[in-house]
Amino acid sequence: MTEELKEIAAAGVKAAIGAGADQAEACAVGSKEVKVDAEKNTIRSASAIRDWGVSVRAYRRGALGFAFTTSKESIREAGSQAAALATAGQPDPDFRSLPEPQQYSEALGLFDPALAELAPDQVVEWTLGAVEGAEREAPQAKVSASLEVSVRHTAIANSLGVQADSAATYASIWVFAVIRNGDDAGRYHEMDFARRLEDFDPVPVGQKAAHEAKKFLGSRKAPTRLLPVILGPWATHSLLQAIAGAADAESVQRHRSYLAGKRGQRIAASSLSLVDDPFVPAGINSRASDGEGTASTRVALVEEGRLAAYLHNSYTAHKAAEQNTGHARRNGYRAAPFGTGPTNLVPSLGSATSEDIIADTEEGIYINAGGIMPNLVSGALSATVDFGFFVEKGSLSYPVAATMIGGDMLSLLQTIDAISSDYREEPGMILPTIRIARLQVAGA
Amino acid sequence: MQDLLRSLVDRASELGAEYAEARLHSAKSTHIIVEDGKADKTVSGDSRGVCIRVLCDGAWGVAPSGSVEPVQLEATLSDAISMARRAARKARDKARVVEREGVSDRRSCEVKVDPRSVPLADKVQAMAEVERQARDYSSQIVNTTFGYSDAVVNQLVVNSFGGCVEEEVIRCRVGGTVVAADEQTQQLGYEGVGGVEGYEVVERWQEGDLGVRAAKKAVHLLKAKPPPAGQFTVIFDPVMTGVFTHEILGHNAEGDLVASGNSIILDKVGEEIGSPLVTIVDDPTLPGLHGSHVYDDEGTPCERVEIVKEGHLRTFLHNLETASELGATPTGSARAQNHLCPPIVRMSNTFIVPGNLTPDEIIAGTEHGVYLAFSFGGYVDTARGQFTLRAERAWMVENGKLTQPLRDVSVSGLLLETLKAVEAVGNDLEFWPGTCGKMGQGAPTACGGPTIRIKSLTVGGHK
Repeated sequence: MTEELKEIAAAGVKAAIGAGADQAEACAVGSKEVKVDAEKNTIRSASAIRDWGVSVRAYRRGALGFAFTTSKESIREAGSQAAALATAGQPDPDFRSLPEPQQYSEALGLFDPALAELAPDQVVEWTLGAVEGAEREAPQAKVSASLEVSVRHTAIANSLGVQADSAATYASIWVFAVIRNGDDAGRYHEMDFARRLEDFDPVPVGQKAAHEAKKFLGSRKAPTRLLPVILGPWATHSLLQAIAGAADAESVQRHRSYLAGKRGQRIAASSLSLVDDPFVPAGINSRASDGEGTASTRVALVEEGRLAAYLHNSYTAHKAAEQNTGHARRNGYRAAPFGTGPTNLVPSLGSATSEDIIADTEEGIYINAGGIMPNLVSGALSATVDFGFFVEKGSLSYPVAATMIGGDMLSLLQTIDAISSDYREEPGMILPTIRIARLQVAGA
Repeated sequence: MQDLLRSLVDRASELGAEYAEARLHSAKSTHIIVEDGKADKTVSGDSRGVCIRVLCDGAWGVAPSGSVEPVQLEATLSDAISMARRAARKARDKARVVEREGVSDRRSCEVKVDPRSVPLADKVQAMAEVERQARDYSSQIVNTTFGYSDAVVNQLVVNSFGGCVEEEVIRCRVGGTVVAADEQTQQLGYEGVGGVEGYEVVERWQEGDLGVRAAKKAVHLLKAKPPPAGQFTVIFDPVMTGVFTHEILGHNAEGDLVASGNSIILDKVGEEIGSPLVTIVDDPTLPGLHGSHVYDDEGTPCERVEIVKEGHLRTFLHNLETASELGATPTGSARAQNHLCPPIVRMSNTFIVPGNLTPDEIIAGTEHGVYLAFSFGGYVDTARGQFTLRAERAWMVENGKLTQPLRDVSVSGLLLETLKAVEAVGNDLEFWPGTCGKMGQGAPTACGGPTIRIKSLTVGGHK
């Protein structure tokens, strides 16, 4: 498939240049996916999804025209259309150039033939296995699950000679368990995902979801006061995303980031360092090149609390006269690349275990998942504790409901007073537990 | 094409499918972006494909195809049947659909100005002017991002009930954000209009001077303070009410979430779940709103659904399957984002029916609370009925008057407490266009309502 995609991408670029574009790039994607869904503890549907599409991005005097099509017969038309759209746009003198050809890292283990050739019946078996595991843990639970296994081939080419091809496999399972007791509901979701079969263990996910769901019965509002807030692994994930998302150079340059003007400054406690690493073998977000075909680079985003870098694409790097870090974000063929996105975020670790950190907290909030979704423009946080517990005398006490946290990202980051030594690991992700010394909690 | 889809559906029935459906979805779109004084990004899309869905031995098989060639579609049908049988072998319970008489119809979309008739250069120029008006409002404006989009979607649904409906829907939107900054902070203002309408949406935007309005809001927010934390009486403007209705009740009333055990109100039909002042409707038949359409993506005619009447839960939103499972009638609520996805139960235009009070009366009748205006969206955990709403702007309310402006305010609550705590409903119904996300699919919707007051909600303040 990759050869066919390369030819199509090349045809799109040629058509755009032929229609008057100064520079052009095309992205051709072919994918196939098997997906099985379960609802109310039974297998409900199975899908075989094949998708194919190509998009062309053309520049004329810096104006961008973008066109996509799902028809193989229409690639030249898409190229011409992109060039025509670019011609109709107003010039942008800040645009310099698309990326030039470069060398890419060797294979990162993103394609697993065993996963690519997995039989659909296995996908059904695993889904059922996860549901049954949840039922054994909590016979009264209503269980929903979704398991998908996919293969995706991508070919990116541009008029300067860039040719970046990739093939990747992906598997994920999501299980949601609900246990009702009158008008009360304990519920939780668990998941697993991987690039390789050996890293994928879907069946136990069901039992884990049901096990946690039981703990969320009897939720009530926490008190309103300033409290320490402990972020469990998934809540830490959203905190790290909130830092990396604001380190997007495009948002910084356009004054849409609370980290604008902060490079080189202390933004967090000195115990926090954060690296964006695209080269973790078989990492979920690992990649040899970004959404424009620029070679990926490892970036130290935060060094001992200081903001060390912004994430660039070709446009922002040229505009800032800085090195392109290779973080252009592209979500498939239906949208033009926009801004930047992180890859695998790897934080520093501390010395105390997560158990120690909780035991050391007289009173506070523990967040299992959700909670850290700030306004990336202002850096303000006013968010709900989606899944969390009140901490009393060093133990998780009752689950909380309709409880919120509020504050400012820069203040919050600087009051981190503990990072655990242990962590949850998913392919490419290291997720420790982090405690924020004090944050406003709103509840009763 | 109709004959080809009919032959596929008939073949599925011959192979033993209890139900079969072939849906051709094609969409052409244009999107123009103007940022910081440059109308330098123009995007177009052309997507076409068929989704084949079959119910065999009580389980669903779904297979889409980007090709409409007969040979490819026959192979896609084989995939769908094969997948259904794989699922059926391991399914404990059988899925069923309500049997219905097939409907045949063809509907085009009438708009004042077909966006396909407007030259691209005119659209680019109009959007450049929209952005300039916002940018010129104040020297404190540091970023402006405005966009125009139009999409023409044609859908042909053929099913094994003998139904064959074809519908064209045209949607246009204009919207944008403005960032203002001073030495202390930077803040975001937003405006948007859109619906099932044509290029006249640009005129609607200009009449409302909405670019300047977005800029004014961003500048206003520079002087606002962070909110307090705790339980407060809250007043929602119509946009907040709309998002509130969509999140707190709309999703919980979606039949697939009810049937799968994931709705906190799944066993409450006939019960009082809200204040007697609250009546909530989902109505795709209202003309011109963002969620308006005539047929759903299973070929069922859409209808107005009164989900809650005077506080009592009356019904849910249903597709063919959920109606069968829950002993109800399909409400025409099955929608799919494109040919790659199966239809699932979605809202359309969801709103609280207006009452008798004016917004001024509601505010004047509030001793102490928080007034929240305009929304950046929200989300809900339907299993618990726990929701979160993000407001753009807010004010403290003291002795019936708006006082201190607030910024970055979100609120949270629980459906079973909050709907009963609605204590005032205004007469100023408005609708707001949006895109609802569920199970990885986006659906154009509108949400609406009047000004309302709620006795108590958690406000996620900073102190």
